[in-house]
Amino acid sequence: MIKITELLRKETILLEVHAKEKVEVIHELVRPLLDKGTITDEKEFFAAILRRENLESTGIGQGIAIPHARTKAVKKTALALGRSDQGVDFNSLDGNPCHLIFLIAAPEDKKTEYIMTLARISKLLRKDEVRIGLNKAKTREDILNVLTQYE
Amino acid sequence: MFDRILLFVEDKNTPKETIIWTIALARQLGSRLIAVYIVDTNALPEGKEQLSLIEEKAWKILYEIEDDAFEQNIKVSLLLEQGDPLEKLLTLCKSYEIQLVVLGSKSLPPLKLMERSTIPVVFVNEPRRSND
Repeated sequence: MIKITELLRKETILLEVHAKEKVEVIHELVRPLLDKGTITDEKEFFAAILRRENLESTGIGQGIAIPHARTKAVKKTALALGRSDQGVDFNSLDGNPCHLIFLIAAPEDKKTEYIMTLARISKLLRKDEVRIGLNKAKTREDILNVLTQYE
Repeated sequence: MFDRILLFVEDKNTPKETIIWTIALARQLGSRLIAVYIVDTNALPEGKEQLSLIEEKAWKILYEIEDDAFEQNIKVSLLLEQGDPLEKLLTLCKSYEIQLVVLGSKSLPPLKLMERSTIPVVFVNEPRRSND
């Protein structure tokens, strides 16, 4: 069973993203995954993630966005999380800005793991208590504790 | 003609063929596909844990559709809702300005939906096996 807390690391959590615009926010979230060596080709990964963003909204409502891509440019499935106090426009169906942005990067040949990760995060984030906990968390450890508690 | 197609999916009652057919149609017409899973609150099992499992399974189905649609360059949005499936579906059609609804033949009571829907509804059957 995939655990979100095993895929999300302290180093890949940004308590407050600096960027205000979707593409720039994604750039910010990709950075720690590049530093960890999870993403091996920034250009290819970014092209994959933008292709999806151009086709669909990864904003799933309730202030959440889950930009994601499955590509050869990723060594193993990993997550990055960014919070935005002001909110970022991800063209969500409900029209609201996103305050919690989870980026999922997965290798091309890990479709099942990728789908399971997406499903698990989406399910977790529908719980009010999880969203409130993540938005209120003061430290990266607090964020991981909230996810551990409800996973 | 059909800019927005709603695909109604359920756990067991949506044959793979319905999904494949709808994705092919959306590709052909250049439509946006909105895949919807409605957790039936009339038949909810007891306990938060059960609901949580249903939701995770629902998201899995929705993301499988998204991945297949993405491979074919189709614009797709996912919705997971709770409520009475028939009522919710009719509401969603209005709010998202849906022009065509597609669902598996064993899904919602077909006649009720057709009676109340103001837009075309297509039921896609599972192909009959030779020994049917």
